[in-house]
Amino acid sequence: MGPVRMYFRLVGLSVRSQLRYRSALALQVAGQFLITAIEFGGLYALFERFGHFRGWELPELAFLYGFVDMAFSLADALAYGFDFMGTLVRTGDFDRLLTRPLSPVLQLLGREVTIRRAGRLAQGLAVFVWAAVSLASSGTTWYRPLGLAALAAGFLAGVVVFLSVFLMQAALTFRTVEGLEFMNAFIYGGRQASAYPASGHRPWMRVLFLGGVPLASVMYLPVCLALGREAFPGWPLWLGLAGPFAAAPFAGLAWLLWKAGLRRYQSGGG
Amino acid sequence: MRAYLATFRARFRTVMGYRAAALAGVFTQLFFGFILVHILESWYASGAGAPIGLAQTASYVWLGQAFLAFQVWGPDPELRDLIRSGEVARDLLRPADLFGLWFARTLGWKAAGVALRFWVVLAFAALFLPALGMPELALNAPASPAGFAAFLAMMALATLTSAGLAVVVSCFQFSQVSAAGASAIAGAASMFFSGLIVPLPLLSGPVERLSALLPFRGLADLPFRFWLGTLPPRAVFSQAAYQAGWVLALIVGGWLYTRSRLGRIAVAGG
Repeated sequence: MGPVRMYFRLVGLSVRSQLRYRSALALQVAGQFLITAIEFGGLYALFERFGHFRGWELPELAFLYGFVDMAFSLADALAYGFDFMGTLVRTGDFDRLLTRPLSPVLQLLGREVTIRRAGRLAQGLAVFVWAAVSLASSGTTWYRPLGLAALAAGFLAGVVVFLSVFLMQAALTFRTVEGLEFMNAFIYGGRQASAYPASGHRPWMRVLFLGGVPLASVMYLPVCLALGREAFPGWPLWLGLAGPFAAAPFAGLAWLLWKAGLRRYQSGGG
Repeated sequence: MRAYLATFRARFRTVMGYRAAALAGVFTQLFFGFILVHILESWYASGAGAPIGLAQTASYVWLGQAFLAFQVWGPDPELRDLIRSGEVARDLLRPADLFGLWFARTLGWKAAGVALRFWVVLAFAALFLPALGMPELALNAPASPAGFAAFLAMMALATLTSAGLAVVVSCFQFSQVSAAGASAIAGAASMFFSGLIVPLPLLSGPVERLSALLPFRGLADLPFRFWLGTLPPRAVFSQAAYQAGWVLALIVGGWLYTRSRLGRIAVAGG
């Protein structure tokens, strides 16, 4: 059986097991939907209060917010298995993953794909669709071929960048199982920061999110291209097509970290 | 009473032992708090007409991060595992009230969670940010000594409210396999209605009126208003009375619910 088929079989098992407790699951999906809906409610309240965000109107803000949130929720649902890394390494159960003829990364990812995060994805999608429709009806042609290409590439790259941060966090588990919450700063902080136009960022934050954890490069720049807005004063629109490529070196770095961690892994259990 | 005090102390000390993990979590909060304040600064730069200034809003956000552990994200993980594994049956054998023991335990967990973290956030926001050259985003001192005293009184009530809400969420495990769904919904409500997503003074209309009725406001917004001086110190008596009413309602309601459920539970495991 090929590794990809094996992965999907694991995912299928995980989904089936979650469907056993339907009422608990329904509550969880509702909870996730509510959490993100309330976040967007916050954005809406601030828009009502202040009128615009550095020149961005509500549909444009919602477009960026929904776009980033969809990529994040998808990556978050896919990568839930990484959450088990700490326990696996501490107890030595990680050994078992190494004895099986499938990449440990795929085994971890296949361990659980959380359906409850679907609530979050649905909310991001709803915001995005609303924004897209209201922008289109007011004459913003975000759906031209170049814009669509940039958005598609940016969405994929966004998922890859978020997954890479999760993989880095898992890779660090080989060195320490304590205190890895600090990576959440980049995950949740990054999501929050990249959901707003980066033109308002301080210089060091621009550097961090364009180059370090390149969430702004892969998501903000494509959205700017689609909306026909300057990302930063004087920046050309075509950067929206180049930006998504920033995901490649970042993912490469995450992969190297993971490989290095795997090489020095010594079993902690019996 | 001594049994409850001992339970409280034991849980408090256990949680206080996890310094390294808490500090890693605090790093996330500092980063996240900074991004929140930074985004709010952009909103303030975009439009006028906010009822409180940026300096007050920044202080509000930092206080929110400092006392974040009061938010209702679910049951005490230790209690959750005890209930799931059935080991909680041992609590039924003790010559003390079950709900009382749970409340004492949860109170210890909540108080220690805040005690571990709040001073790091306060020090960073009040001292470090100005030193970094960003005094406009820093935490300002309380508006008056009387206001600070009112803040402390409301914070004592916040601790009780927080434990009350968390223990009520734990009770959902009587009827659900997991309290995850209820926790997610309670978490969303508490984050929003206590002012952690958007400072409540920036809201208006029915949402603000609703938030004034709910207990969540006492976890953050109410004490913070005394710190900022947007509520006069003498208002502490009426506000504290209202909040104490909620605490009483949570405790009595939870106790009655537990008693009605205890007749019907089946203990899993042996």
